[in-house]
Amino acid sequence: MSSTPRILAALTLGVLAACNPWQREVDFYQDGEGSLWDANVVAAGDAVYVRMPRANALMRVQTDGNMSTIDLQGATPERMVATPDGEGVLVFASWQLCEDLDPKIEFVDDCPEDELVTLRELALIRGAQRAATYDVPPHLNALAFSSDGKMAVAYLDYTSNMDIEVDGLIDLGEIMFIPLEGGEPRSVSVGFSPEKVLFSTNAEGEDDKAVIFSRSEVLVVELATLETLVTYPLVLDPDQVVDPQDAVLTDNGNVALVAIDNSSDLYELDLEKYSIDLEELDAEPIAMANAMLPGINDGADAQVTLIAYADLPRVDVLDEDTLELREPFELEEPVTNMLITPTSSVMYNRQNDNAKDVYDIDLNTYEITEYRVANPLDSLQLAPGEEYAVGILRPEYDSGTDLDRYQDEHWGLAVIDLVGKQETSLVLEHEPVGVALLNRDEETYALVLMQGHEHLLQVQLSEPTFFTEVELEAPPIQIGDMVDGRFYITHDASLGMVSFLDPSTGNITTTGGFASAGLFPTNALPRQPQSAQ
Amino acid sequence: MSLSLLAIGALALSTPAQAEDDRPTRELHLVTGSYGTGDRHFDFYSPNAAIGASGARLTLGLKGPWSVVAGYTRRTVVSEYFDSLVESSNEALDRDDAALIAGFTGQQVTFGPKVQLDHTPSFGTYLTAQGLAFMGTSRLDDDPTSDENRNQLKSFGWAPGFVTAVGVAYHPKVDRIPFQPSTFLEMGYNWTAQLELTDENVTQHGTNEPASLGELSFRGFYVQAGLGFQF
Repeated sequence: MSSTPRILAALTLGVLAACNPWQREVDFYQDGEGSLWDANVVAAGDAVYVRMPRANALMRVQTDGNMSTIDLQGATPERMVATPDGEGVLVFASWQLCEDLDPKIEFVDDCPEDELVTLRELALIRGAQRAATYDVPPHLNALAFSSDGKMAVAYLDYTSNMDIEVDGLIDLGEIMFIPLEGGEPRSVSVGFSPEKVLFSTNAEGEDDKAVIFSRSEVLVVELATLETLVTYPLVLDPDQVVDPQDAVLTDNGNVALVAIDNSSDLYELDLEKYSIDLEELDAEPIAMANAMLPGINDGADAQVTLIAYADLPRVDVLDEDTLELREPFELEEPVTNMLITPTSSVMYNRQNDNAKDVYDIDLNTYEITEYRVANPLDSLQLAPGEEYAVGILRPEYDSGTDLDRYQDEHWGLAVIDLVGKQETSLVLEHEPVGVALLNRDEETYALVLMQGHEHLLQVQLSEPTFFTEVELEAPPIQIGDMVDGRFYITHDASLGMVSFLDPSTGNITTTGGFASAGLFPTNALPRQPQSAQ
Repeated sequence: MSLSLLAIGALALSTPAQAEDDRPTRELHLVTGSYGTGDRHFDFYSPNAAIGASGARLTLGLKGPWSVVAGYTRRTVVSEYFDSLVESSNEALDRDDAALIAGFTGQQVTFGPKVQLDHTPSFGTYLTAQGLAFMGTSRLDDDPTSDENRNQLKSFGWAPGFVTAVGVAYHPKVDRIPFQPSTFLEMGYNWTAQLELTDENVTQHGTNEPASLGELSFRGFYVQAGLGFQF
């Protein structure tokens, strides 16, 4: 045998051995350490913004399918909030810095542990750009916005056992005003544990004051100067402590109504005359909402605040002009939630499993229409046009017999025709993860997503038992709406998947695969001064 | 697999021939070994700190103790993740099948000199230093039950590097066959530059370039054994 054929035969043998043409089986079964992406996305403009915890990155996924990373200069996005104009996102972000400025220190592992600090900022993202950053104290973790969207207020939203980061010292009464259209943020100390911020408007309809509700006191801050105009003590005895439970501003912004935890007192704070009045109610309010009673004052409209109670089957009506209670709405069951329209209020109870009534109150005539749904309501929303209300019914156990029991044990969908005055309670195959309502071709539809179910149910509300299914590429997790009227759907797909639904056509486009970007993040210190990186 | 292929190959190539007195200067080995990865990111594909690989190696004798070595090795590792890698405010996402399959195929081509340190007819020690090209392919699939799902992502990258090793070889003399058996065991160090994997679907901020998955490197000690023949 000559050497050439030998070599060729030997090489063939080698290639055969090396190519390994057999299908590989799984070698290892692993638990994931850290999520690749967070399905709780935020919509802004024509895109959704996605946090990617493993990559420490932020991704922008557009409705046209484009996907791009956002440059946060190495900071890790932790929480996101859409700006009121729907065109931007405020991102709470953090990064690590080594206080040892040795230029050789480039990676976290290079830095002595006691020299490593975590810094935070609030970044405003518009489109794909980091438009501005704000130096916000690390413990301020929540945002409220003025109605014109020009001012954001950062405050501490404290939840039980929450870990508050202290760098030196912090003021638990601090809030920060952040002008989103330029200007320097400014901190104001407003008592202890401010938990709610409302904005009142002047005669021109512009926000001019922030009303801050904190423990035992309410402060009014002038937005132009950020000076505290007045402080309302909610108790006379400093040893007493009260926490605001709920608050609303009257429609004209002149009066703040404050309900207190475990108290039937309603504080009426006059923001013009700087005076306090107290209304003794029959029970602790559970919800308050502004509404208008059309033509009730000799043909003139009356602006009122509706006050609901968890334990009283009644809704009180507080006249905002006189601050006197008008004739209440008497109900058969207590309600805890109110949906207000210009002419009606739809009320329901989502706290008490035995309260299954839904009331549609005509604010003009005081006429009450009562609907009874099959199971307790988990949520209720009004469709565009307000002709239908659609609710998610949660299971209840050990109630009813036979077919009743079957319905009780399942998640359901309640469709209430507010015009035809008809209610239909449907049984769902799985727990719903979201419901969105839309109008198309003079029909109103409910889009229902269910956990683990790879279809989108389109329920025609005029005939609720008629529905169609649209196949999805993966099980859904969340549905939300966008500024342009489209809906987004996030999916349970490890490598990332978002669908966009155009309500005018019903077309769904799906984009995926974005969560692989940054799969192997470097451990570099992103903003280390003097670093070679 | 390697041994059976070796046997088949030996059978196919064994034709009647006169045994030569001189030792052949060419060697072909089927090789297998373990190569240190030394990169924490490789955990995504394999919890082991080394990647095993098999392949073939051809050695051509030059002058005196010098020869030149060319090798090719390949290995695929696959990890399955069952728990969802999606963060959600929903309670535990209900799954019936794997959430992700992550596979990595590494192919390595090496080429370089080998010098025999001492030599007896059947036993010798040697040193070798070879340049290499490492080609890595990542395959990610978040719905392994479907062949047509959207998220079947493949990305490829390559990086140069080198290996340097010391080894021992054994060539027992067997009369009346045209091929002389040969085996070796070597240990050394492998080093590759950073191998960058990219995602063509996503653009990097501020550019139209594909977004980077990140970088992997393969650096560490390795051990490799070979079984073959001289011809």
